[in-house]
Amino acid sequence: MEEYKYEYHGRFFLEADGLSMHFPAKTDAFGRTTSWIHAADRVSFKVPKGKTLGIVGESGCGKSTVGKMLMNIYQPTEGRVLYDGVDITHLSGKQRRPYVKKMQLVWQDPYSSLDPRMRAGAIVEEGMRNFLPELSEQQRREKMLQILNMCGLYEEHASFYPHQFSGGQRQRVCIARALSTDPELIVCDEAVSALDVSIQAQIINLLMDLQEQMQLTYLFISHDLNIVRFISDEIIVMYLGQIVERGTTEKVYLHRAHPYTKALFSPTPVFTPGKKPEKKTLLQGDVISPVDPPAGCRFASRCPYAQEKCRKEDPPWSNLEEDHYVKCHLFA
Amino acid sequence: MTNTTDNGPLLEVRNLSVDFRIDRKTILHAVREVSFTVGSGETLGILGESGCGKSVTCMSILQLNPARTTIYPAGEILFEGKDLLRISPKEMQHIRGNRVSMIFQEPMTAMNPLYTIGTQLMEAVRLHRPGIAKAEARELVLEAIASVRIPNPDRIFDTYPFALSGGMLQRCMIAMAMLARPKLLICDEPTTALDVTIQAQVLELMNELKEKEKTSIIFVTHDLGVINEMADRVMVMYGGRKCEEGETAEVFLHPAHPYTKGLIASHPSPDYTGRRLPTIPGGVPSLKDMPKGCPFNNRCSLATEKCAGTFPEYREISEDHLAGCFALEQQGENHGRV
Repeated sequence: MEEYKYEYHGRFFLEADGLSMHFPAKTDAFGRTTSWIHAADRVSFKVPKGKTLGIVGESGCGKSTVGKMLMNIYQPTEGRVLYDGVDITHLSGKQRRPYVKKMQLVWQDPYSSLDPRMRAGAIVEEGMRNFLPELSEQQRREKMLQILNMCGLYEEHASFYPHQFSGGQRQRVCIARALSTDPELIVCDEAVSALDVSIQAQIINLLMDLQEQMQLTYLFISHDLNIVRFISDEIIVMYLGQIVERGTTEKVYLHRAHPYTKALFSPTPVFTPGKKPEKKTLLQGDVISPVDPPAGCRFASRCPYAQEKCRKEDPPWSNLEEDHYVKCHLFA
Repeated sequence: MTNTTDNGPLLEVRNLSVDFRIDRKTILHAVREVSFTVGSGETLGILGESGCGKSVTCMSILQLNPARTTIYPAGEILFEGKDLLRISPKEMQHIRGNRVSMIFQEPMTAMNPLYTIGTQLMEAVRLHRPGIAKAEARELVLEAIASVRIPNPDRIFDTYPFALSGGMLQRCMIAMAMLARPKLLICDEPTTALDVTIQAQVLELMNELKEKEKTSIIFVTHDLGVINEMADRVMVMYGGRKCEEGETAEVFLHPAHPYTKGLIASHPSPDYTGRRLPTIPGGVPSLKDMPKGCPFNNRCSLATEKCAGTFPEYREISEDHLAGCFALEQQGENHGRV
């Protein structure tokens, strides 16, 4: 198990304790699984209430899998999810209900995650019908309008169908739907990636405003480092199912240590007007297959600093400074 | 004009407008009076959000817009002296892929899943050079695959697209586009679908090929960072109009049009520490309800009544830097520079 000491002294709101997700890849003639896709391996983190944890990585690094395990869309192969101190990993449907109400998801693509045949108002009210049966029809409608308003939409939008909205407005409807059950935790899985540049900033600001008003806790999953940096309090960087670096946003962003984090940050053509970007750390090759990954560091095949040791031994966690940890032999 | 040869620019688009006929009554104006030039060896970045007409402009150059519904009410596209809007389909066929090539956004869908990479690249060679011997074509293809730094070209030759990652496929697309050694390469969001570390590899590769082959590039993207890295000059589009054009550094350092200013501001620099991101209010209008006059007038903080009437004349901000905005007139000679 990795050693990561959390310096936070309040109560942790959401904890992932050694979450692993393995999917069967190949079976032999008897139907026994012979190799596994390691989508996520021993992922642990803790998030205090009202804070944002950013998960960064390339496609296939397991960041969405982690989100889905928290929401119980996938049942983790190993590990536990603790919500406000309660283990919710193996609850039955009925036992889980109160937690489902408190945890909501916002998906990447607002075009496909809204029912095209429901009006925006009905979409937002649906969650209330399900989870807040004590509300009367009148109260539901009032609450729905209030939520739409909070998300920057107007009363007349309640009777619109999803196709009548623009992309940014549609994402606002998705956020409104997520808010309808009075959640405490929202998992944003690439929530702004499909939006136009000038709209992304609006949605990010909206998410941050809502967080301040309602003490929401976010898990913000994205590949866009500039945006993650902006919204997160803490960042974890994932590569091929494992966390490779973690720490407070400032420290990970300013003192990035792991060779992968460096490569991930540097090639995003970070925008400084009128200045040619600096020399970049270019990675060779592609992400290796997650089917039965090799022992040793999973990044070794692309790492410019890889040594013999990296291919054989799994790197340990090292503590670089307060609230900043990296899993790499270079720092061991 | 930078990097222009003595006999004029390689591509000159003058006053191009493109309309789409939707039904008998509806005609949508996708591109309005856009003019720009691309010199040889120069990279022009076209920057804009979805629906701003950047892709339609590029498709017009290669005449790839759906022929039945597209109308070109005005303008000319001069490539090496020929007006591409007025030549025969046969002549166009000769230019397309040969003199001007294109790379599309989604490498997964741009390749035919039923044929091997080799077959598809061979097809490109044999179409453009009829009568070439098969063995010779194969040599050319292998060389092209190697030139985009794919290890084991022989193995890739017999691979189907599904077996390759997005980055590898996009390299194959680049190899295919560069096969005929085109004078002009049009890239429509070539790295948008790729991961950041792969994007960096592809961008570096394109810059290298450009140096080596002296190809002119039109680079379409919504990503300011990519433009900053790739383009010598940039043209900013909004709602089918060109709103600003100039040398990349000049435009990014001294943006004149309110839309360009807003776009740049919503990309915080690494040392930006404010609590909220600066934004442009409102959303990108769809073609159906594009505001009259300046298309940006309903989101612009400087908009006056005048803006809803006509689109302003382009004003020269400095040498090789144009912008179309009424607000520039009031600001007088310093054009908003402090």
